Amino acid sequence: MDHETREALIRLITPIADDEWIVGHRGSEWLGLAPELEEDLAFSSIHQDEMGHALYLYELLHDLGEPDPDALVYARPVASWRNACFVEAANGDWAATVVRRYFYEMFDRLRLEALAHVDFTPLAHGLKKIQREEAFHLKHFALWMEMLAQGGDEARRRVIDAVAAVWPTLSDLFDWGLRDDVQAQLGLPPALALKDAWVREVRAQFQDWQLPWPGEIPTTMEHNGRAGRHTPALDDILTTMRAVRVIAPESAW
Amino acid sequence: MSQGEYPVYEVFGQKDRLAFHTHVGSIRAANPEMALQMAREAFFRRETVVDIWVVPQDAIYSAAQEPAYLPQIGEDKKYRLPSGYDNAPHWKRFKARAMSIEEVAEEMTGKRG
Repeated sequence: MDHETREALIRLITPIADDEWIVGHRGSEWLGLAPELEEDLAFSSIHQDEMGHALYLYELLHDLGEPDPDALVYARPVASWRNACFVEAANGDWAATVVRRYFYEMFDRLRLEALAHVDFTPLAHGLKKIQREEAFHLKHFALWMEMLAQGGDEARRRVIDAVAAVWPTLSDLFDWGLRDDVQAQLGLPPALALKDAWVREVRAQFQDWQLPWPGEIPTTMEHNGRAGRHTPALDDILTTMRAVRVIAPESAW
Repeated sequence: MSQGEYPVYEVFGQKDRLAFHTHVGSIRAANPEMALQMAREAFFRRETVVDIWVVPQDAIYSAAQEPAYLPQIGEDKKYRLPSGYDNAPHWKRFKARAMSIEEVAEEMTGKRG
């Protein structure tokens, strides 16, 4: 593999791994707090999956010449993280969590489909398993959306408020974080196509659930996680995540 | 959906296509689809199953509520026990190596004939 291809693959995989890791971490914050016992189990299990996907991708990055997964997670400066700001934001209430997770899962499904065009065997191998698990995650959060949207006045109001609140923060999710020529070279669709597909899918489901459509997704954002311009929320996550590591760097887990 | 507690669903898993659905426990869920999702996460995270059933608990008629319905098989009903047939080994082989039903029949009649 030539240097250029390796660099392109590292740039492609890092945002995906970081998204999954941060989603997993935010998910772990609900442990013991989810609205029901059954959901507590399901929610934890789903976020364990996400962390598993992240680990697989971090190991791929390590094989491509990046530091090992522990170093990537515990020692990387904030500005080198490439997850979308959308996934690093604080959870909010259960409706806001469901909305965020549904939006992310729909995006993730479309991203995984797009990644099938990338000619890199170890990635394709991992994607198969990841795709199976993600299909379940999407169904789970779509069902929650449906239940909340049609579950009475308060649930419905909370969903609509949550949609309105996260809507302006969506756009960096669709950014591949790659130069256009590199993106085309890897066989990936442009960010715009990914976003259009997402809008089509989500809009159709919003219609089924009789949720008002919030309109165009704003494109101007002060922050862009794919370029390393994060919100303070990522600092909070990393500080919590690294707390033990900072106190006792050599401790065994 | 009305307020209050979710209904209880009894959960059954089928380990392979030839196995019976086996009761594994129960969960609460808002609707059957969510019950299936919760059942998967609560009971089948670490094992493979080819099918999961969820059954609303109130759809189950239980004999324990009416003791007269419970069978009492005593010594006096020995004539109902199927002794004298020895089909078990044939069925075991059938299960183990996916024979056709005709082959099982052949094997049985062959041995007897």
